[in-house]
Amino acid sequence: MRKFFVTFFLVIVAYVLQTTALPSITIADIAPNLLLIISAYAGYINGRTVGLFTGFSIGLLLDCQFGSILGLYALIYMLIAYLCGFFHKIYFREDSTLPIIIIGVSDFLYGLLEYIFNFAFRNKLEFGFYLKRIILPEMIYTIIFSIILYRIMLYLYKHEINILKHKKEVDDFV
Amino acid sequence: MRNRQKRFFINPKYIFIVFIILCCVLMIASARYSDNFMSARDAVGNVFSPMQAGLNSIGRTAKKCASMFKSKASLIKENEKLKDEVSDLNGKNRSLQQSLDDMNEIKKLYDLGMTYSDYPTVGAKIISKTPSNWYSSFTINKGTNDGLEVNMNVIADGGLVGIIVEAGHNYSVVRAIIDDESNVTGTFNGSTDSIDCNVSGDLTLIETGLLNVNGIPGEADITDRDLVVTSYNSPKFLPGIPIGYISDIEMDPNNLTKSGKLTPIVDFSKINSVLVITHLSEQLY
Repeated sequence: MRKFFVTFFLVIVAYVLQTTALPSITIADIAPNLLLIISAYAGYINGRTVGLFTGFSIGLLLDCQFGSILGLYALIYMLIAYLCGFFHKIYFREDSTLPIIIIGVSDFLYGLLEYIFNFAFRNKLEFGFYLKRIILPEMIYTIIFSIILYRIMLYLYKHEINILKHKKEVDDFV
Repeated sequence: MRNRQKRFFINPKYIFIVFIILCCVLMIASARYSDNFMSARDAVGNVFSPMQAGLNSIGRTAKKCASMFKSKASLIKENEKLKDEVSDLNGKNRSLQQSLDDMNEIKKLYDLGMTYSDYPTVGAKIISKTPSNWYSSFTINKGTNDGLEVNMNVIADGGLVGIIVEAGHNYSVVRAIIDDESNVTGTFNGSTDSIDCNVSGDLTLIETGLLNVNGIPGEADITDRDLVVTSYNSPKFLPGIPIGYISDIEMDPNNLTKSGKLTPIVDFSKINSVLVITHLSEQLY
């Protein structure tokens, strides 16, 4: 239940911030992707199912307000969050390098999918330019943001269940 | 708690497959029957646009507070400079007013149509911008309740900003002309014969803030810094709205058409409020 409410709260806050505050702190016209961080970490911290629902709801919100067709962003965000959910198996609270790698790879994947679906299909083929000017800067900016956000999300989710599970395993063993 | 969780456990793989199918169905359905999904989009917009408007007004107030701490000396200097400018402009305004009256007389005689400045407009504030780095569209705080409709033209600072692509009850989404998917039919101001061209946004010109212009007839007599305005031939844009100034005109490899770059009149990084022309272009097609 806690997971549900925390995720709900995070999605709403991140969505409102992403559409209002973040476009005004752009560096070279590039804004970090807060929504991607939320969906990727929801998957990483809580597993595939939670990630899947988080990604889907974020994507659907984007589709409703800004997309031309419903479902495309939902699919992209859901796919990324689901893939991040696989890393839940090697999730470890104090590990701070894996989350950075996860965000880097997911944001790259997001950029790639966005390019393919919305640009390559319209015969805009200078991939090198889009990679250099949009995908990579966004990736770096997003990674910097994710370092701060990871701690906040860990605090909000307060991952006690994992500790309990671990304790039980130890008890069983003894 | 743990037991209950175990009882409802479904392999995420299956949920994933179900949701992928759901997304695909949604995509196809919304592409085919886009009108039927408008109410769902409207609901999301109705919930979020007040929040976005609130947060934006907080940001604006903060900016205003920060500007309060300007030094007195610089303000006095600025005031003097502005006073000079006002007296200068007043003089200019008077002479312009005179020529405007003359022009109105002549216009009446020639029975010319309205120019864009005669159209009824509604002011609106920008409440949120597209969250993606790939697009340039934004949401404004007025919708169908204020008489806005899809395909209405949006202007600011006397130049074209974009067009409404989605209108909800209390919000509308405006696609800016710098967006990669935007296309506007333009013509050259003051040219006697109609020289049409296509003004399109291009993400690869993000550094310079320019737009692409192509399809200008090769024999057209145009020079750099000519003003491009919306054309009579455009099905969605009202005629005569200034778009920007052309530059870098080059002959295309096919030797039939010319293309160039366009500097928009509107500074898209600074706009906060826009005017919506509540007059739809007459459907010619």
